[in-house]
Amino acid sequence: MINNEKDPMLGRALHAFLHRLMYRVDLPKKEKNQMKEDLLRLFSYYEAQGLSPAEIENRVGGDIFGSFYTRPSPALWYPLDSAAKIYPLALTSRRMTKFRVSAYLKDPVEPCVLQVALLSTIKRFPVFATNLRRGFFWHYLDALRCRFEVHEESRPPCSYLSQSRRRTPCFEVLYYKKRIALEVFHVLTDGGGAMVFLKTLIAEYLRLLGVSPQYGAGILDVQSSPSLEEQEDSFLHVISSKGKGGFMQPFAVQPGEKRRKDRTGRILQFIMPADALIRAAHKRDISVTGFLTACMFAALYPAVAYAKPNEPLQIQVPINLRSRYGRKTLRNFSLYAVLRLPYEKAVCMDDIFTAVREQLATYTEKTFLDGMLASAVSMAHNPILRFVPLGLKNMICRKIYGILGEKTLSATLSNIGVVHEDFGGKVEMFDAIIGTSWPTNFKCGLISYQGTAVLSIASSLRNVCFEDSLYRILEKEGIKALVEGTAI
Amino acid sequence: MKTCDACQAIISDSFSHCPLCGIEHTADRTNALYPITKKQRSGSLYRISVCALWLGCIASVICNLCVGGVPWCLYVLCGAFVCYTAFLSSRLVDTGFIQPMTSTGISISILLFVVERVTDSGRWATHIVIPCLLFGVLLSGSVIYLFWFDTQRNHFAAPLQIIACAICAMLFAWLGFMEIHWPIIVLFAYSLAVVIVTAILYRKPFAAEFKKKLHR
Repeated sequence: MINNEKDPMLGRALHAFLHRLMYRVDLPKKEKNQMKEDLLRLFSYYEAQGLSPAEIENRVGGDIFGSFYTRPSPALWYPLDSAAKIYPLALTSRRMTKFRVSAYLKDPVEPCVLQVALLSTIKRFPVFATNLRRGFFWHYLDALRCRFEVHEESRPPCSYLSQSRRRTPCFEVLYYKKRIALEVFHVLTDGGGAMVFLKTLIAEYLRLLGVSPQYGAGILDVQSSPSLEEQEDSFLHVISSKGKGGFMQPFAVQPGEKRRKDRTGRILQFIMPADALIRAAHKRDISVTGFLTACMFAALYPAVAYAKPNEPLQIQVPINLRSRYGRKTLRNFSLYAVLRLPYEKAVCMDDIFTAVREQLATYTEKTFLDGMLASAVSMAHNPILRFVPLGLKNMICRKIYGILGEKTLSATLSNIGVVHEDFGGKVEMFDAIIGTSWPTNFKCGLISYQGTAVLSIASSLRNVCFEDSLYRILEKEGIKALVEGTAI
Repeated sequence: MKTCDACQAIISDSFSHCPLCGIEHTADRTNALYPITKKQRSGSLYRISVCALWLGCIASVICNLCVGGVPWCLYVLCGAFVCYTAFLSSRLVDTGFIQPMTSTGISISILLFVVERVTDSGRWATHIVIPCLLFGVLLSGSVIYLFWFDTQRNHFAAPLQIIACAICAMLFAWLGFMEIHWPIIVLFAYSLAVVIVTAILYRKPFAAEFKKKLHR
């Protein structure tokens, strides 16, 4: 509880500064008191570091919260973008389309600084400051003005995040030792958008620690106003053709071994030199994504217990459309390429690389992407589907997604890309974890930063045949990785 | 980091077993990347309960068909539906208190309607009990909605369902398709009162929430 009397430890100037920051904050009393305590903890931390009240005031800044907490309750809301509509419909207590992006700092995380950094950063991302609601026909994101909190990690990565309570956002900021993690429900954004939020949060955190950030496309200035482009559903802005793209896929081979009893599964990470990975990919005349996809096909072959005839191996690879279409949206804007290989052909590495190279070239052609985009938007905005009541849609989609959605994939590989920003030498590494869901048993995320590439494999199976095979394949291609992960 | 003696993989010091071959190692969790977490609940009690309800329903239908006579299995089916609605079903998104209460009230009304039709013992449920039950549900729901409007502003769909039912029932009664009884009149009058009070006190915010629900 906040003591109304002046804290003797806090100088008069700082107390006045605190009062100025909190004066027009318009939140429920409990949250307002918690915000005051957050600032007091931050000031105490600064005082312990030897900063004077003037330096503290200069560091924090009088406009740290902007008008985010002082506006009247917002009437803002956002319809879900075309890709996000399916995620709440397919949501079950055992299946939540969630992913995590993390940054590993060189020093332990200061929770009090991170908390205030989050309070400052959220105003720049109004789409993140929302919670999920039910409409009559579709879900939507309702603007949420509250004290967003950081938590210490105490659950497995990508655990289920309840959406049933009133003031629960669709993302979490977690910390553990030197790591800051952002876990996001896919209704909000994809990997590209989440990375912008994480990098901006890290930059704000480091700014509060005295490191000057370098703003750019990847790190937004938290004091600048959000643009409409960042909040748009870019799918609706770039449709140019009425072509059709293939969404119906045959069922894929599943490594049908026994699954782990804990719902979220096991995470194994291969930390490897990025230049070795790039060299190995260039040697095979293929991109890094293609190289890893081919290695995954080869690793899946021994991991499958029983393959039905005509069931191929299928790996889903998300394609970030922002650079291809020149959009700046922070919401979902990616399509999914499904690379297919007959099970019996996943033996010879040369054949696998050839097949993957050809398919990736097809999937990344603009005409193909245009067709897929048009199909995605027409499905999401189908006039018949639009007026089916949400309860009915929910019941049907939950069943269909369980049968047709995940069963058409053997694995997923999401390449977030290379993080180019410099954080003043304070950040060591990034990683990206895609949450597991039955029956797609292997979900892989790849991200690189300053010469280190991290491939995170989330699995819900008991045995490690796939991971072991993948490790050996990478070793044969000249990549020696360090294996990290959750406790076995 | 260390090298596994068995499979030569380079692994973190924090593993007590090699993650690839399973050989035991001495673990040093000082620099472990992830905390040791508790096992999460598997939800087996929920699945057992749902299975038990299904088995009960199937068994009762089979028994009733074999034995014949009064279709008492309908009571079992409706009772199972009430149990599921009241205790086992939960919305994963945007759950309040009003919607589950309304769903339970409506499912009990369906049970009573079925009992009335099967036993053919007059229209006691349709004319008296169901309107009184729905009145109670609407009274509780509307009080919560209006008194705590700031927090409940978007949970109006459930009371709206009952108000719509009351208006339809009154219309049918006026058009001569059913008899008018005092519980229906009271339910209709209270529904109108809720609509009028909401329109007077919260017209603009209610309209904004309604537009959001319609995606306009």
